[in-house]
Amino acid sequence: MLRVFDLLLMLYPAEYRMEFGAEMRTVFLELDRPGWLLLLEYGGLVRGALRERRRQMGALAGGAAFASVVNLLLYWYLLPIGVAHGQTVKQDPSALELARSIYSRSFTALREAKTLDELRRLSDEMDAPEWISVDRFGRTVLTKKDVDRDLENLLKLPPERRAAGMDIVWAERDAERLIVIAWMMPNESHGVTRGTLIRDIFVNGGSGWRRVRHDKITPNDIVLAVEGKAQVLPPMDEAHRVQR
Amino acid sequence: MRHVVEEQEPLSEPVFLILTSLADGPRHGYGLIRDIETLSGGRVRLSTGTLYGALHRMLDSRWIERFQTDDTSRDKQSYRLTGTGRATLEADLERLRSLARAASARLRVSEA
Repeated sequence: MLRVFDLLLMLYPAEYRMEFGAEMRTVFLELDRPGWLLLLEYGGLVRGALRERRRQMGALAGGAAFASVVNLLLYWYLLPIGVAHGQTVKQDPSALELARSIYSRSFTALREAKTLDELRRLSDEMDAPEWISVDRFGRTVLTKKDVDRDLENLLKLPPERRAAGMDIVWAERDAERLIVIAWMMPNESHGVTRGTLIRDIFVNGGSGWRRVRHDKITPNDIVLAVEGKAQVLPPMDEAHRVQR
Repeated sequence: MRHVVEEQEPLSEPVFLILTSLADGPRHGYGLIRDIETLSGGRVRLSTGTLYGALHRMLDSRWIERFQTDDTSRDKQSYRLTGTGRATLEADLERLRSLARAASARLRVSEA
């Protein structure tokens, strides 16, 4: 029963699954529908998935089917820089500034933390309890509990190695949400700049801006530049850089 | 000068029932489905897919919002009505009342 439900859930767009999948699964289990009502459940899932796909396609390319299929894969990552719509979208300076100030504050505090309690407080200020880290296949690989369990090891690191370097590619916000797409770069060595493209989502709740999700979009340590020559995407300028 | 009066589209039955169910307080997914069965006298049994499709659209329209409760977790979220959601429900209720009044009046005339 649950296997069929999980298979049908796969018909939904990944973003939708990430937002509602776990919750839908719980409700399905709680309902424990008998016999023919189960068929109703499955039918509802198929209809719901088609509706969400249609919604997503409609939002992307005005019904151009081929473009929509391509965009389905790239939507969340290319839309912000205007490629999906073929438009030029300008960076909102207030979103960039907000993002830079959040990371800057957090990186400084991370470097200066001397006790486990300080790190715990910092973790609670930065990330909401429901925070998750998702790999490029959409799998949840870390929860906040996992990270909090590992804070002791973080404290053992020399301060300069506790935070990665960061170039913000795109930041966008409304009253409730802030998204940040950025290259995270570990220590540079031998003139090789390596990095990972990430997306963070922050929500503005009662405790200020807190991160609810961290997506690692590419594998770790893609070579970005060799001896200053860009291989993938050039490092951004100072306005986009968060100093470690 | 032409004045355009924007009117709200009539709500679908699932959306109407979800808003009604949330009108007296926050509920999570399972609670909503069960309450809607009760509200409709067992006639409407929302599937999980229908419920979350509607919740998704209503979150986007800011008619509802997520609400933190003691048992909130990634797989158990509560939802509550926003001011906009309440106004939307009231507007649709008024539309239904007015239709009901018109229908009753005509029935009375035809019976007389």
